[in-house]
Amino acid sequence: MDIRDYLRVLSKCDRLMEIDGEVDWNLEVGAIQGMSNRVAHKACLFNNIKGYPGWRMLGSPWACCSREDVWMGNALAAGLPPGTSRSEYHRVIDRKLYGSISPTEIASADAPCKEVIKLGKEANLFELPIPYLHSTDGGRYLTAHVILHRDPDTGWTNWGWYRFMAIGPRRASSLNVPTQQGPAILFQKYWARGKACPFALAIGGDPAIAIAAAFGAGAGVCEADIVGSIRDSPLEVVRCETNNLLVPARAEVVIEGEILPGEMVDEGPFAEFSGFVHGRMQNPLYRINCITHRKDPIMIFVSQVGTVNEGICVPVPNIEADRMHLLVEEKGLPVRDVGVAAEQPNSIFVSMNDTRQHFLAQVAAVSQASKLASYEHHLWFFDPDQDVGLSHYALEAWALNCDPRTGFHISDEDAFNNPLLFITGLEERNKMINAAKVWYDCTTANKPPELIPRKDNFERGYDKDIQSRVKERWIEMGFDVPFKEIETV
Amino acid sequence: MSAEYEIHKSYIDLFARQIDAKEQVTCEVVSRGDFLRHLVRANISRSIEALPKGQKLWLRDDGSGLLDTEPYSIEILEELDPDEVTFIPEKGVGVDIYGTR
Repeated sequence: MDIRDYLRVLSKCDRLMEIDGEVDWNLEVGAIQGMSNRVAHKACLFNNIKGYPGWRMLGSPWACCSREDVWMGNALAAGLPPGTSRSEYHRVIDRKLYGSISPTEIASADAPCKEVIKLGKEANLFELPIPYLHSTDGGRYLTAHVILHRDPDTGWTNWGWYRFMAIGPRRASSLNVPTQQGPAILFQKYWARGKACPFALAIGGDPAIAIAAAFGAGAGVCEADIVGSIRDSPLEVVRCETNNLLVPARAEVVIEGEILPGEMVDEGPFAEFSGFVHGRMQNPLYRINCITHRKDPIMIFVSQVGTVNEGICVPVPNIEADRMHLLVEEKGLPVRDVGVAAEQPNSIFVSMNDTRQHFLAQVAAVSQASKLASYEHHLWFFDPDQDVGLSHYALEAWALNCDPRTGFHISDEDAFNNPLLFITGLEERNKMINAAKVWYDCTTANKPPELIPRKDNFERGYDKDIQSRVKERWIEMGFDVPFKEIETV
Repeated sequence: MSAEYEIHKSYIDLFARQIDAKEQVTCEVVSRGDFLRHLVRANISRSIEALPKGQKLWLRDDGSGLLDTEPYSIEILEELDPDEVTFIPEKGVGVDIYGTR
């Protein structure tokens, strides 16, 4: 599957809006897609881009979902049918994220991404309709791609998803958080030897690349192998023109280049996925040596406006599946389900099969030390029957059950601080220190029975006969929205 | 080159003395038309009136990304090729998370 096949899937599911009128790459496409994310939950395919004949633009192809089905873009991109439930997505993706099928290299002549090749001074980033997305951004940003860097010691290639700012025709920069394994750790290995770090950036190709790139796979795991696992067949890759990196053959656009030792530039500001403007930082200068693309390329971007955007909906379902894998399969802890808040992914909800406090503390210790824990500052524990898939249910239980005197536990007062989150002051964020982590006991385990309110809702408050009768007559009574049950234990 | 440009506040602060002394500066500015970053030799003034033959130079806040409401004025004398000029990291003022300065 490539992004064009995926467009047909989105169209069939009524999650694609095709727009033929002329639109401007300068703020307009970003604004349209932002509103679509907020109210329509559809990706937009723009067929007529001002100043860029022959190009199309595709906005937020994975955020075609609402808060209530935040996993759906991932599910469709992974080849699962429309209507796949959250638990079904977790069950399938958990197996696939830890699988591995190596990619297959094909000849350049057979690779659609090589239909147009521009080398050296012919390569010009500004010939691509790179959008200017938000009026507070410091420049035009690529936002939907993978960047490939190779470990000079082991040969391992990391495929990661990092914002990429166009500065000049052959100059760019990218936000590289120093502790991220991909770019920062790898290019610094080259720099220590006085060498340039080769890179490649690929836009498009298999839509499952986004799932793999946002997963947070461990060091030594190439995300291309995960894409193969998701697809049950090897990803087709092709060699770059100017270095030995292997990029998705069915990509829309590939940008090749190198990061020369010590060359830093100012990058940012950029309105980030968390809904806040992230300020200007010094980041490496990416020098462009070659651009290849299809003859009728599609420039893909994601809108960061609105709660449901790719910074949320792509990683969140995978964090949930990954955390379950870690806590239950690897550590054998009594966890029933894990949910991540779609509003801010630094809040993780855990329902426990055994709510005794030592288990809560143990889960907090393991979870808040895991790979993606730099994004995790709030951890909430609930009874086993708590639905953790939707924040408002969890927050209701928190308000009812978390005793303000005894329910709050600071587990770390000096943790790594993710500069993209905004829970501390600017200086601490920039130094990436002093982020506290906290967990909340929202269970009823240690409360006297008389203090535990009876939970009541449709499923609990009516017996099965009444529920069935209402369900059977629902459409007949004239309701035009589907009957909806929620899972309870 | 387009008619309007922008520059970051903390970056232009590095050239405060030259601007006040009406000396030429060599700095990077971003054209508002296509957001291409240009390395230029230019005269810069803190108001349009003080350099009427210049073009608008908007100041962008490094943290919030907002533009100031009153632009400076810039008269571009020469555009330089950034690849032909030795890059000086110390010119940058963004948060130095790598400790390279």
